[in-house]
Amino acid sequence: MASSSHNPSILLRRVLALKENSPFILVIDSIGRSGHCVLDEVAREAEESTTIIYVSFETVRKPKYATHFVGGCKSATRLLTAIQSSLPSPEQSKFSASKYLVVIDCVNFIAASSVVELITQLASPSVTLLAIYHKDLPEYRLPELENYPSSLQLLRFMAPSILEVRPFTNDLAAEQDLESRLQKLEMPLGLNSSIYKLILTNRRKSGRALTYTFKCDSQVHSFVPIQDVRTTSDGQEDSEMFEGLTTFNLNTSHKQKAAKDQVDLPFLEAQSFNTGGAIVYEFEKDDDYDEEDPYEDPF
Amino acid sequence: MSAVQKQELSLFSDHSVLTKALFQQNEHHVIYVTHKLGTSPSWLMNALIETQVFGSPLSLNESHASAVNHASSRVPVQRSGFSSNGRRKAATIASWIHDSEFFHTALGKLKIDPASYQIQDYLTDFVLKNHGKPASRVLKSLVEELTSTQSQSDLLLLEQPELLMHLLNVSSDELHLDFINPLARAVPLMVIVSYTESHENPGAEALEHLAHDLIEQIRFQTGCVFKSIAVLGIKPLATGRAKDVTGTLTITRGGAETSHLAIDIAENEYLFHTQKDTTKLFYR
Amino acid sequence: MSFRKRGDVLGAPGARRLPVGGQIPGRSLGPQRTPVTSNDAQLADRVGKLSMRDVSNSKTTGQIDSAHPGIRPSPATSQPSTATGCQDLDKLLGHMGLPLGQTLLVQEQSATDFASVLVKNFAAQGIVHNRKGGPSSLAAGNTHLVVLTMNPFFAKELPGVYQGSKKEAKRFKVSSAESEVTVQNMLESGAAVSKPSAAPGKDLKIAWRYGLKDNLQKGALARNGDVELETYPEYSHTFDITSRLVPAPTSAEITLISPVQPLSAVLTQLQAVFQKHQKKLIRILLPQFLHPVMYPPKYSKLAELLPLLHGIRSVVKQNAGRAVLLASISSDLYAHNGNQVLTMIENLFDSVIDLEPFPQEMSQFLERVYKSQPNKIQHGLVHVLKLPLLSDRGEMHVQRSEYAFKNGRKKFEIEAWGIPVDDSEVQDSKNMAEKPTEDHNHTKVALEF
Repeated sequence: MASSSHNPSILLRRVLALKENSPFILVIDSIGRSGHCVLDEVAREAEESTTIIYVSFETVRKPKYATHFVGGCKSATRLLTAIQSSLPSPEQSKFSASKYLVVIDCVNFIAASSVVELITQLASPSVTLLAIYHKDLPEYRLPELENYPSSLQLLRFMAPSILEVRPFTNDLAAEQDLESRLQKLEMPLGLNSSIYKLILTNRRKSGRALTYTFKCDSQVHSFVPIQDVRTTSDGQEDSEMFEGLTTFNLNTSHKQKAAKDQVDLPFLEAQSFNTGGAIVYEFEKDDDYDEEDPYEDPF
Repeated sequence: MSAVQKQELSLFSDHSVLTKALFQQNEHHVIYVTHKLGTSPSWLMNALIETQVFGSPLSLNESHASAVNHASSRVPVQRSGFSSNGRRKAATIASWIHDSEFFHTALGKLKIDPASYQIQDYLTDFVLKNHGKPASRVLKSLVEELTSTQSQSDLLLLEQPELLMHLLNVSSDELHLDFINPLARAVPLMVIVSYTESHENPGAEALEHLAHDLIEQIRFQTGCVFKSIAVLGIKPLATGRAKDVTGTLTITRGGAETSHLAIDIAENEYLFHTQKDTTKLFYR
Repeated sequence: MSFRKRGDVLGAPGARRLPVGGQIPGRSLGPQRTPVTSNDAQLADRVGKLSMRDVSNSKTTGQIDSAHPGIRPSPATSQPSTATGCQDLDKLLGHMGLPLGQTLLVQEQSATDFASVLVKNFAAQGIVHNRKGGPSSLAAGNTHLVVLTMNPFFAKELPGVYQGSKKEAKRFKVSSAESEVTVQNMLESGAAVSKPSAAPGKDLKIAWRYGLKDNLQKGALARNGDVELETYPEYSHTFDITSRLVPAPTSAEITLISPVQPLSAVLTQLQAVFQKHQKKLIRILLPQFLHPVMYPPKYSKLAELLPLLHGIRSVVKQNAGRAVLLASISSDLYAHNGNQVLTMIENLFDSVIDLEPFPQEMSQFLERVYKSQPNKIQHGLVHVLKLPLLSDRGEMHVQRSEYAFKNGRKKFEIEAWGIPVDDSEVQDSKNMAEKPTEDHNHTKVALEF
């Protein structure tokens, strides 16, 4: 475990092969790149003996890898009984070594109020639940459940492993352009292509999450981790920026940078604010605070 | 105009409009057509039906006169199975926005024999017949009606089925589960045509409060994108009206898996010009 | 043919048309008017390869009297079309009218009610057509009006036919009296119809109305519009919105149906009108749709309003040979939420135009520019969203801010829109460049708009 967490690719393969200890895998996708590519990878990586129960809310034809193909329905309890009829009973599962995978191709159809129950009922050590959530489907929220978290929040909270697929874009501008077009359902070319971006979030037992980004190619089944582009490019920019500007050496060496990063500045709280500077003031017992004096207001 | 390079319509990488691979035994696929204000999709629907009848969309890119001249020499493609008794239809059209006369007129102009297609007119008296009835029953009878006629044709065109949400007061999920899904699983190829003018989706993560109707509409239309192997989007030019261009047709992959097909979707963007019942495609 | 027609009353439109054009059968007896099989070939030629289906269409329109004064073929598609009561709107629609079986939605932004002028003209035009059949046909009639409204006084608020300025009106009375005498004389003599010179007397009534009197006498009918007038003399009229249609239409001419009833009741009543008035052109009006005073809040639900529109659309399409629909709506009330409601409503109409009255600054600017020509001041923009028949077959006809409208006593005019040059501004910039006045700012705002 410890070694795998240091190598993102191996960790991803373990998740896809259902070897990582996570009974519930959430796949988040959008119309830009549907999550079926992940299903294909899982079906490919998982052990041959795995029984795959495919619950279809929107898939029209039964995929090759599916052992059972169950039609989705609106009622969660009916759905549960339909799925469980293909699963072993809890007693059986203790003795059988074979693995089961339940795939829900569009978990959006299940209302936020019953999604938790469904997950807890299905996911177990021998049964892995893999659900696709389309993040561009807005959700109608009942007035009486106004304060209840949205489905996406619930699913993100419950899932030990989250795989988010996105169309591969070169830079931020292209990504924003793509998103604004998809909002109007004007599909640009190059969507759902074999090359896509995969963001893996894996939670350890402690609940601490590790996030890695991959560039994937579903044709050759390759997963190349993407370094955090921003930090590397920033470093280059810095050194270039100061070149030829003055005769002084304004560059910082890596060692200096590391040292700089480690300096703890006072008022860490203030640094976490998004909007520029802010005054953080803590009232101390010796402070002389006069309510009448308008000039003394420290806020 | 004449200097512009015309382009053949092809949706699949084998240069076909509707590849034969779609009509294999036990195959079911969905294609989604979206259109916006100013660019009605009737020419595209006609082209798809024409493809089913004659093997290719003959009247596209032709001038009207020559299209009519050629029409007489057109020979319908022999359909496998039922062709001998002539009962197998090339296509079934179900529309909630146009009556059967509309299609008869349009297809008649292309010299398509009315016997080669079937129209389910869900505009005429639909409300009078079905208003106030339990929606699930109406949907069920619609599915039965369409699948029974459908057993005789390979292509089912649904024009604006999203209207059913409001006509029967059902949610998008119900419509998908009780209507679209059973139909899609019964038909080799289903084409859904939707009007997406007011589609404006901030996404599930956005905190904006959306109207219920809008949520349902977005859910339905986005759901259709996920179901389909290809999305054909037609929209006017962003710059507005032009004399020699009506709009763009964009062919993209949909959300459904196509790896089982040996043939890929031929993604492309065309410009097209529709005038006097003829449509020409050309390169961007 | 002329022999058969000789017995007709001179006032009947069919008879009048005969002496005028040389190529009579092709013109005045268009295919939609007389669905004679021998005509079909000719028609197909003339129209340019219409399909068989189109020709068979004329079968349904055949229900209407072939010589209905308010119907003419569209120059664009040759589909029979009827006048909307506003000539400029007829032109804008691309068919010189609203083709039968088509529906038109007039949206209007802001709280103004220019659309009601179009609605009332549309209604009055139907009544005038109906009365053109002569007094005997008043009971039978050729046109019936259905208004889906809760306003019981709708029939009493219709404008009358424009009679010209007061002076002209008097002269008209005299001349029409004279012409009647002439016509009678000629009928008696029996040789009337074959002589072209016989017609002008009766022609005066209409021709004069369009300022054609002189032209007619000189025989100069070169202008296209005049020819159309000759062919379709009673097709379109001009209405004076300050006058009233007298006598007000009766229940034989107009049916009011409340739209705020159970859906099936509305639709069955609507269908009953078609049953009752066979062989008549039925003009359906849906004024001020979703007006909050008339429609309870639940009608804002799509599940409530779309079935209603869908049902009405179904009835119109079922009777495509003899029905047209005009609806109006105040769009500002429903413009929120990404225009979802409006878009869904537009979707159920074959053609849609949108009136956008000018805001105050723009009106002031126009008033200043057209100080000396107040009749040139436009009142707002006309946006075209969909055109009948043409949009449905895939043509792109969204034209925003290309037309402007102005509403006058006798006419609702729609013309190409261009921002006029402000002379005072030009002078300003010439003479005193040092002082950027407030007017400048105003103009700039207006220009951007």
